[in-house]
Amino acid sequence: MDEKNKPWLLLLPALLVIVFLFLGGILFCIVQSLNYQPIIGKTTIDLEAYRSIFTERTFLVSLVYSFYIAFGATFLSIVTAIIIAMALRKTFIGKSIAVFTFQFPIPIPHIVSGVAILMLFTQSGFISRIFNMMGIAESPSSFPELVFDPMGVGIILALLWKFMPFIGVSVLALLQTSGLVYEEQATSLGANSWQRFRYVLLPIMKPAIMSTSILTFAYGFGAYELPFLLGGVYPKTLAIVAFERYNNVDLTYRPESMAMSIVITIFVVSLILLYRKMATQNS
Amino acid sequence: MACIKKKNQNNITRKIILVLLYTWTFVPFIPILIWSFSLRWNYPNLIPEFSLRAWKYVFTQKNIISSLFSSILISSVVTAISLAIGLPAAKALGMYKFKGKKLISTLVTLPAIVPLLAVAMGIQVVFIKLGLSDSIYGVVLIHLVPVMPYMIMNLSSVYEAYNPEFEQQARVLGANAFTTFYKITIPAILPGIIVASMFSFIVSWSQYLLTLIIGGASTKTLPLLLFAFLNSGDYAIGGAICIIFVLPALILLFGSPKYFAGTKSVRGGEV
Amino acid sequence: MTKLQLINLTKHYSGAPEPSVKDFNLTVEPGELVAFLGPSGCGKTTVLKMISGLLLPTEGDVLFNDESVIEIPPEKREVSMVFQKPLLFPHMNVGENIGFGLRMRKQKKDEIKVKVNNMLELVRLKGYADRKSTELSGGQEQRISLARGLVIEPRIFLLDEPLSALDASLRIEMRELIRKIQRHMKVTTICVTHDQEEAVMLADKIALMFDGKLQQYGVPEVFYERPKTKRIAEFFGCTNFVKGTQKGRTVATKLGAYTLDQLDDDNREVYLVVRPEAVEVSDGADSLKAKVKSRIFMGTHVRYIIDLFGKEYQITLESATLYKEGDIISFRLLKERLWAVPYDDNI
Repeated sequence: MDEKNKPWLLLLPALLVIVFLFLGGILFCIVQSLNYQPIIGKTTIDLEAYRSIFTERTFLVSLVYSFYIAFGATFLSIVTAIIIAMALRKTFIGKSIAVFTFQFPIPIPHIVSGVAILMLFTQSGFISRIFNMMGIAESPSSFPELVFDPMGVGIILALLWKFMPFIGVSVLALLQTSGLVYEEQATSLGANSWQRFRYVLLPIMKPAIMSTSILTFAYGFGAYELPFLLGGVYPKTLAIVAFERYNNVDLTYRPESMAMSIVITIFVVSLILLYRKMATQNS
Repeated sequence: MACIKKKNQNNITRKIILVLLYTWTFVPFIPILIWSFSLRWNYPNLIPEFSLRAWKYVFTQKNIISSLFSSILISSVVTAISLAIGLPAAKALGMYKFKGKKLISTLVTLPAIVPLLAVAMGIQVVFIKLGLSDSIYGVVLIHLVPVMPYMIMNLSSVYEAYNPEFEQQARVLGANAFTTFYKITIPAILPGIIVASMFSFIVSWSQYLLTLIIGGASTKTLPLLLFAFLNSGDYAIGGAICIIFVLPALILLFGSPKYFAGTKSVRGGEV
Repeated sequence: MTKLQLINLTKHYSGAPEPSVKDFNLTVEPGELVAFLGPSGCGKTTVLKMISGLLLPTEGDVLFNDESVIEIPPEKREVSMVFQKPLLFPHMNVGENIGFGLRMRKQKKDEIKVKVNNMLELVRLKGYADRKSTELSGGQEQRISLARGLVIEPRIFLLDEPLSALDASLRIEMRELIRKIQRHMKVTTICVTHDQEEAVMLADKIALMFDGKLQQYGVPEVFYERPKTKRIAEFFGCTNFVKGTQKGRTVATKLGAYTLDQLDDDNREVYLVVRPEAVEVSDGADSLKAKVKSRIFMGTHVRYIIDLFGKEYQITLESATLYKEGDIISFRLLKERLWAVPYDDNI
C-alpha cells in the first residue's frame, strides 16, 4: 500500500459522509434557497428569497435576537466560568468532588437543562413557590416573567447551565498547570492578586476561552430545542422562524426557510474563519 | 497576621462559590424528580400529591417503550457506524503527516460546530427521493453528521498519544497485521474507544431537530416524545421520561471517572 | 543591602509524618551569596519559599535587617525569585517581561525603559528588548529571568536551581554571570542547588541540608577540610573512613595513630576522615603499602582504588605517578589534612 495514499484511504469513508451528507445537504439547501424548483418547472435561480427575508421585520428581529441570546449566554458563561475556575484552581479538601460537580453538566443533553428551567423558573414554578412560601411573591404573576418572555432569560439560563462548565473546565485545566507557576513568579516580582489576574492569568486563559466560546456562541446562535421549549411568542430565534416557515403548508415559503438556514450557516462559518485568522495572527 | 487573614477571606469566598456551584448544578434535578412522582402538583404547593402514575405509565405504555427502543437502536447503530468510519479516519489524522491535513481536520470537525438545520432541510429532498425520509434509515444517516466529528475528535487524541512502535515491535516478532491490531493496538486504545463511543452515543441520543425533520411521523425517539408530553403540559410523565433520558449521561459520568473530561490535568491539582 | 535571619524555621504539612523543614537557623550577611545545598527533597526549596513568603512557616520567623517580615505578603516583601524554568510570560516580549515588576510598582515608562536596557546589557543581551519571549534559547531565557528578578532591586534575591535545566557548558558560563552580577549589584542572594561543585564555585558560604535540617554552614573549604559528620564528608566526595578511637587529640586506627592539632580534645569513637587527596607517595617508616585494584584516569589526576588491610579506599595522585593494576603503592597520610567525625552506626 502506497504510504503516501494510506491516510487518504483511511479517511475515505469519513470524507464520503462529510461530502455527501454534510456538504451535500448544505448545497441542496443553497440551491433550494435560490428558488430552484424543477417540480413546478422553474429551472432558474434568483435571490428573491434572500431579498424577501432581509426586508422582513420578523427575520431581522430574529437575527438580532439570536445574536443576543448567543452573546448573552456566552458572555455570562465566560464570566462565571472564570470565577469558578479561579476558585477551584488551588488544592483544598473536597476538590475532586467540586471538580466533578463543575464538569457534571457537560454530557447532560441540553433538553434536560431546558426541562429543569421550565420547572424551576416559570411563574408557577418551583422557585416562584419558594418565594411564595417566604412571603416575597403573593401569586404567580408577582413572580417575574423569566420563561416565555421577550428577554429570553429562561433560554439564557438553560444555555448557561451547559456552557459554563464547557468553558470552565478548559480554563481550569490551564490554570492548574501553567497558571499556578506563573502566578508564583508574578507574586515574587511584586504583583498583587488583582495584577496577577489581569496581567498574567487572564492572558494565559485567553486561548482556552476563545476556542470554547466560539463553539458555545455557534450553538446558541443556531439553537432550536431550548428556545422552542422556553421561548415566548415574540421574538423567536432564527432556527425557530426558519423551521416554522419550512413546515408551512404553503410551499412558496420553502425557499425563504432555506435562505434563513443558510444565513445561520454562513454566519457561523464566518465566525469560525474569523477566529482562526485571529488565532494564527496571535501566535 | 495579615497573611492568614487574607487566606481565610479566600477560603470563605471559595466556600460560598462552592455552595452556589453545588446548588446550581444539582437543584435542577429536584423538580424533575418530584414531578415524576406526582399526580398533581399545583401552585403554591412545594410538595405534590404523590403518585406512581407517571412511572407506571412509562414502564407499561407501548409508545414510550417503543420510543425508548428506537432511541437505543438508532444511537447504537449510529455509534457503531461512526466507530467503524471514525477509527481509520482518526488514525490518519492522529498518526500521519500529509498535505492538506489541516484542511481535512477542519472539515471533519465542522459538522459538530455548525448548526445542522440547513443540512437537514437541504438533504430532506434527496432523502424523500431515495425513500430514506420518514424512516429509521434516514434518521441513522442524518445522525452520522453530528456524531462522526465527535467520534473522530475523541479518537484522534487517543491515536496521538499512542506509540506506533508497539505495533512495529509486534510485527518484527512475527505477528501479522490482524493479530497485531487485535492483540496490541486494540487493548492500548480500548479505554479511549469506550469513552469516545459513550460520548457519541449521547450526541445521537440527544438529537431532536434532525430526527424531527428527517424522521417524520414514523420515527419517534425519546426526545421527541419528551417534547410532546411537555407541550401538552403533562410534567409528571415528562419528568419521568426526562429521568430515563438522562441515564446514559449519568452512566458516563459515574461509570468512567478516570477517563471523563479527557484531560487528566483537570484532576491534576489533587497533588 | 539586607541582612537575612532565619530563626527556628519549621514547616510541617498537615498529614505528613515528618516536618519538611525543622528548626532552621541561619544568618546571611548583607550582600552575601549563600548556596543552599542538599539532595533532592531535603527541604531547600521549602526554606526558600518561606523566605519569599510563598509559603508560611508552621513555626519560626524570618527577619530582614532585624525586622520580622512574616506578616508581610509575598508580593510586598521585595524578595524576587528565579525558578528552575525561566517562566517568561508568553504574551509579553523580552522588554515587557523584564519591566514587569517595575510596572507593577507603577514606575514611569521612560524610567522603566532605561532600567530594562541597563539590565539587558548586564546580562549580555543588549538590544533584545523587542524580541518575542518565545523565540529564545534556554540560556537566553534564563538570563532574561535573572534580569527580570534583579531589575526591581530586591532586598533578597532567591534562585531555585536556576541552572539545572541547562547544558553543562552553559551552566559554567551562567555561574560566572550570576556571580558577577550579584557582586555588582551587592544584593543578598540565596541560591538553591543540588550540585556541590556549583555551590562551591558560586557561593560565599554554603548551607548544607539533609532531611529538612541544617547540617553545616560555612565557607566552602570547611566542607572539605572540616566536615561535621560522615554523611557530609560523603556528600562532598570523600569515601575513606577508618574506624578509630580518639583520646585527647590522638586518633588510633588500624592504619596507625595520628595526633591531629586541628582536633579539639575529646574522648570518643570516631571515623578518621581521609580525603583522597590527603596522601603522598612515600617510602618512609610510617608509610602504608596497598595494592592497586583499579584506576580511573581523570586528566590531571589519577584515582586509584586500593586494597589496604582488606578494605577498599580511594586515593588521588598526580598523573605523573602512573601505577598499574596489581602494583603496590607506598604512601603516607598527610596529617594536616586529616579529620575525624563522630562514629555513628546509622549513617
